[in-house]
Amino acid sequence: MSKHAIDLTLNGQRRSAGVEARTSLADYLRLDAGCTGVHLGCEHGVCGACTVTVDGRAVRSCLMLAVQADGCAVTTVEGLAAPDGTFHPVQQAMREAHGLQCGFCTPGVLMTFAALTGGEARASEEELVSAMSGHVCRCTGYQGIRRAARALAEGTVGAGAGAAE
Amino acid sequence: MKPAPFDYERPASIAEACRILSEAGGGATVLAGGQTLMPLLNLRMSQPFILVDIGRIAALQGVSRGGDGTRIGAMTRQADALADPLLAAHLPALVTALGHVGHHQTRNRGTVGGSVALGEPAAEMPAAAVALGAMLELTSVRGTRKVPADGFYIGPYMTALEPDELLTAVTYPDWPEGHLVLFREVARRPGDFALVGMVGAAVVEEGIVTRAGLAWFGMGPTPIRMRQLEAALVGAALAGLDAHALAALGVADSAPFDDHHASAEYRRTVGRRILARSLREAFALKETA
Amino acid sequence: MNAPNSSLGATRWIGQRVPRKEDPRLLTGRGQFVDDIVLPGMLHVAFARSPIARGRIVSIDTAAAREMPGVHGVLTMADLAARPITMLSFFFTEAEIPITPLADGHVSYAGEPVVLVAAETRAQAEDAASLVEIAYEELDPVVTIAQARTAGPIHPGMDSNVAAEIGDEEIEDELEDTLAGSALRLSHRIVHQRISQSPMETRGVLASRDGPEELQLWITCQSPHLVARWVSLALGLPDSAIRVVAKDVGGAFGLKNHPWKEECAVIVAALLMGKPLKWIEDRYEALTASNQAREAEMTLQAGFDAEGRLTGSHGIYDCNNGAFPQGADSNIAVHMFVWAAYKQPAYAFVSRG
Repeated sequence: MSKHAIDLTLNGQRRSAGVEARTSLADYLRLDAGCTGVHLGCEHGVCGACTVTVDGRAVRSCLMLAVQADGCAVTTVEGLAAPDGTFHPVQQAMREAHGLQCGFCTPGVLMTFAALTGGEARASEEELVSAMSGHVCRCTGYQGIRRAARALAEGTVGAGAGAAE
Repeated sequence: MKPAPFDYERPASIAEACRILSEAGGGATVLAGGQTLMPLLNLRMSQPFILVDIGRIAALQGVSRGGDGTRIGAMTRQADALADPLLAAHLPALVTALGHVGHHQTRNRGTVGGSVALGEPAAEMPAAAVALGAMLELTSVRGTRKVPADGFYIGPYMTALEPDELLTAVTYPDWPEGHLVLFREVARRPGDFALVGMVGAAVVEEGIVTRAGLAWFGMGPTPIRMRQLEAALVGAALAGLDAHALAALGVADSAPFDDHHASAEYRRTVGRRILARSLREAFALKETA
Repeated sequence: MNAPNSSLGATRWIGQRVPRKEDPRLLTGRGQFVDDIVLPGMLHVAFARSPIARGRIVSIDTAAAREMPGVHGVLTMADLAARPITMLSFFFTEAEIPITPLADGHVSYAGEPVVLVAAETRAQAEDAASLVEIAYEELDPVVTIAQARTAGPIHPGMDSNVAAEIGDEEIEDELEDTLAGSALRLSHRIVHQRISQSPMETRGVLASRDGPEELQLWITCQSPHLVARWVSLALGLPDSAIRVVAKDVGGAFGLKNHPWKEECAVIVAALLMGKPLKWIEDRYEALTASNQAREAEMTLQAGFDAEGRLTGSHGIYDCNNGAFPQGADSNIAVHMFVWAAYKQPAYAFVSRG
């Protein structure tokens, strides 16, 4: 089995590693880089819990090899909040809307929403809800997540739609 | 669910990729977007000796226009194709079908060529290639040959692609501006493989259908072109079309099967309904336009 | 939180939106699910499982698996027998049929674990598990409720395939008279399909032997105290010898009430090997070998008077528990729902699992 040296930017920091050809990006992130917020729910691309962004796009980290991320910028749920701990708007929106219960699927949902609403991206509520078809949540019945999607699309995160703190 | 061991190669050119495939003598598998291959690897249902990642070959990327239509490089990501202005202008049926391929997250990795080459019978891309009359470009160290999509598919995941060949591009012929788009699928959930689906295009000139290309997916071991329906449509006057009878003709060319998702009878019944509805909508739109 | 400090007790919270205190860690990737825990020297477990639903194990050849890189242990039930464990029901009672962590001589469901492999990585454990060769003498499986009624007992030494039965299939005279005398008498059969609980976080356990007979478990479960009590009884160890940690749990839906075959195999193997062992069920295992639920048939007869009031009813309920019911259960709860939900003078039933 071939081994490969990779360089990537993970949550804003440069990282070098040696990986086996068969190591998935998800396993690399969890086991090697310590990003255990990347959750493996199915390992065949159905549940969406392992979703991260690669060069700004939401992708399944279980359906990508670590060696394929060579030279890429990868962001996981650990890279969302500001260094001072301030929540990213998608985290704030999910918290306010009670968009999570057990929290296992949540990191993946957050990364999809972050890819679609961060920077120049301005996804509509419909686009966010449509992208949710790529995530399975067994707790919430999705209604809290839909409210979070609406708040993100309408720019009302932190405007009292959910719990005050 | 971890893959069996394999070697990984990342060629920088088509020639290099073909050389690796040739030397591997059937022991190599091409990794394009990986959205179907990676699950098969994780489940150990596929255990290649060498994985050939064609993701960094620049010549396989992008959409271009030429004398024979619109050419899509095999590694063009489904998400990029979905947002491509050339495809939106020239191949609206393909774009509509692309919107139903997998999920937003898998379209960010999945490729047009990977889906076409794989030949999943319930997938949108192979059926769209068949319906729209696409030509596939297959390259190996022996040279490049062009194979029509209609005829490329032999059975589930079985195609005319030789073990040493690489699908390098898919070229879709032009359909005239204003042509009609027909697309419908029924799936358990958005992003699931279709239980039944159909895709195609048609051209109407002065009340007469002058061209039609339609194909089923999820209705047999391969994507299936609706030859009888196409023959009945071409030359027919819109005023005389009977959507119900035409849909029955479309179903006559299908070969659905029973599986744990749906029965063959269900597929035929639903197939006839969605085809009739698509025909009614497409041709009525033209009438009222 | 804007909750007033002056008020005490539950009234502080009534009518308030209460932010969950676990959200910050779950939203930032700092949750601690079982697979997030890493111990020094920890090994990963994969199982070689039965591909058939029922059969006798003729031979097990682990030689090739033992030779694989990274492999520290390849254990069969014969190996695990060195540290006895008594698998218990949810009510801490002993099972009526012997249940072993790994298959012992025969297999009773597709996916039943037969051989445990411990290796330095999960991928290596899977590599080795795929090389274990098990020969079976295949027997006809008994799959449906209808088959179970007519087939001989699948578990040796049992009278039938009914693990538990409460009530009477025959309707007693008094109820029969009530139903016969009712203005309307209906009978209806309802079939409920089998379900797989499919929590987002699959089953998983990390077992570490600390000292000669002390056990630390990180396990995804519904009640750490229940698991601790269950394991202490199963292993015959005092409560104080067992520590169970379950910080974040990705759903359970009844599946994770207490450890089952794979978890017990990992616990016993960890005690025997003296090394921390982690097993994280993958989705393929979860959908094949996790316990499932439902699959029930119920025939309900009901009588109504001329105004449509229930006069009485009788239910025949059969539930398919699969090969190894977690205790001989006939799911009597179903009948509690029937008699609690409707006002009816008479109800009788039979319940079988």
